[in-house]
Amino acid sequence: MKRKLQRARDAFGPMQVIALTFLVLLIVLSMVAPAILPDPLAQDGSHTFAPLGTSGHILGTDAFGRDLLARLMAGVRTELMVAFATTLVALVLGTALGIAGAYFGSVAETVTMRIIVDVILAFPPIIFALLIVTIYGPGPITLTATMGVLFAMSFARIAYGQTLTVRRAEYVDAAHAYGAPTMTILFRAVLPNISAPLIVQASLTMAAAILLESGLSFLGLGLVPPAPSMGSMIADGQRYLATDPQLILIPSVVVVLTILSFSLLGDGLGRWLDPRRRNAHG
Amino acid sequence: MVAYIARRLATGVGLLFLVLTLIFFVIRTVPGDPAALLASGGGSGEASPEAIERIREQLGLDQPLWAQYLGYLAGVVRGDFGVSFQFGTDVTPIIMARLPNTLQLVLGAVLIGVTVGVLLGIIAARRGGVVSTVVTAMGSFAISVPVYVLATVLAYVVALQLRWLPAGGFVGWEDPVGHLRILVLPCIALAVPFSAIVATITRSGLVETAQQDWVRTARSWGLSPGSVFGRHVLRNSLTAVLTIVGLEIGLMFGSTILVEQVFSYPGLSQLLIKAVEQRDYPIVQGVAILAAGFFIMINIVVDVLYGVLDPRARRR
Repeated sequence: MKRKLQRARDAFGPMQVIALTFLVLLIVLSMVAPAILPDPLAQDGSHTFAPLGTSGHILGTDAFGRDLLARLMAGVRTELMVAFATTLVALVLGTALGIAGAYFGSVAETVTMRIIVDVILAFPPIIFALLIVTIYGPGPITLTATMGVLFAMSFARIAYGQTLTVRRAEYVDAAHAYGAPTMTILFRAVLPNISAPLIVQASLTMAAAILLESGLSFLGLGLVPPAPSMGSMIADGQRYLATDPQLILIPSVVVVLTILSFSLLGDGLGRWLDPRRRNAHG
Repeated sequence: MVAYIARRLATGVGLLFLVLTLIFFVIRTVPGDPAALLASGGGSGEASPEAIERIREQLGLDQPLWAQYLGYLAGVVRGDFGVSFQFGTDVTPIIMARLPNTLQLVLGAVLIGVTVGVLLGIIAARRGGVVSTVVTAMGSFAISVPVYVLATVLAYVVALQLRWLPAGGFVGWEDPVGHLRILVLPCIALAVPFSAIVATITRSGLVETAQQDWVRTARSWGLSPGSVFGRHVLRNSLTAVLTIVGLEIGLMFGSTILVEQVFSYPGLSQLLIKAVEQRDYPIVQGVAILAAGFFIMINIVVDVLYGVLDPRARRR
């Protein structure tokens, strides 16, 4: 137990603690925001471009007199939800593809790794997403499904590589020998032993999903206005860049810190769950 | 070597064929009548029966599926991506008119990114200590900044505040200096995350290679540290750098869409965004095929270079 604690301490440095604190704060704030902040869509023609620190509007207002902090928090909420749903879809889909490809081999391997994964990865992600949006229209559902499929490919590659090594392990042979059904072997013997790098990838995927989602929203093709999102707030602010740069700088800082936090957390998780380090300590 | 290149090309063509197949079937998964949906701009308005009929004919939806598929493949092979719904003219010339501008950005960013990235990676690996930590930290920060945020900040600081460079617009090659001045900021915006990744890979590749037994052997022969580094360590680390450069160029093609938007640069971006909004499917499809083809081609080039640098790779 003590060793475990020590290992966690080694893996999660001060940067990881800051990242985690920031993310927890952000999640809590964005959840309580609707109760304490003004309506993010409410326009107020008499209070446009209010500066920072205006009473009632801590971060000021935008060109339509909408409260910037409220919009920011509403944007963060949607963004985190879309990113989380995307990661979940990618994790489940990608792991299933990867395990199936490696465990069953031959045809399954060709179909999953050579056909599905290689073909999807042949597109720049943003262009693949634009293609799907053209067909199905923008919105959170299209966005989650598309990004889920896109990011599943990295999970598939990782799960595939890991399963190839685990497949030949003695405990898998043993499970085979006493007649365990295939599903039991996959869920009880294979999955637990390949989960560590998948968890790390999940944290990195949160970062990547926020990056891509905000980019699409910046183009006006992700989450649809007037629903606030970091990307569309930054896009709206472009017009007032010379006079009111805070309209862009504030959402930019939030989006950068969120992405940075998830990737720092991923680095920490990677160090914590790395089996080589585990052996080194105990 | 010839057999190796031929094999890579065949794999690339096979992959491109699968990409085309995917695109073909994706449009046909649209619930309901794709022609009606596309004609109505995504169900937002009522389409006239003539418009629906025109699109049905254009997509060949009145023919059996296999005939549609063959017709589509035959068209793509001839460089015919169909007729734009918005402009009513062939898609290929519309895209080709803007493609060179986008490729210039990609080329410029790759040149800057590789030079700066490899140099930073070498400095970090050779100096170690604080320099290495700083380069690594800057690297993970740089890849967390969305490229459109970086572009906006550059536009604000360098163009609007310092007034060193234009914040956007376009000047043709008739005025080479003006043209290059336009390219600088978008290229830097694209090159920063790219060079961060290149630097990280270069650094870790160099550090890893330097620990190899044969490096120790080379040193024990009495070769100078500079010659061990230049002729052995660096050359053997470049294969990893090459792989990541190939991967990242494909991604950069996507990022240009965002950067062009910030600088109102007349590349593929504005065309593509308008096409997505207007549900101009043939244009988006054309750009997607082009991007995938570009990516696949870059990967073949990378694989061949890899074979040149590392003869072991040719046997795989």
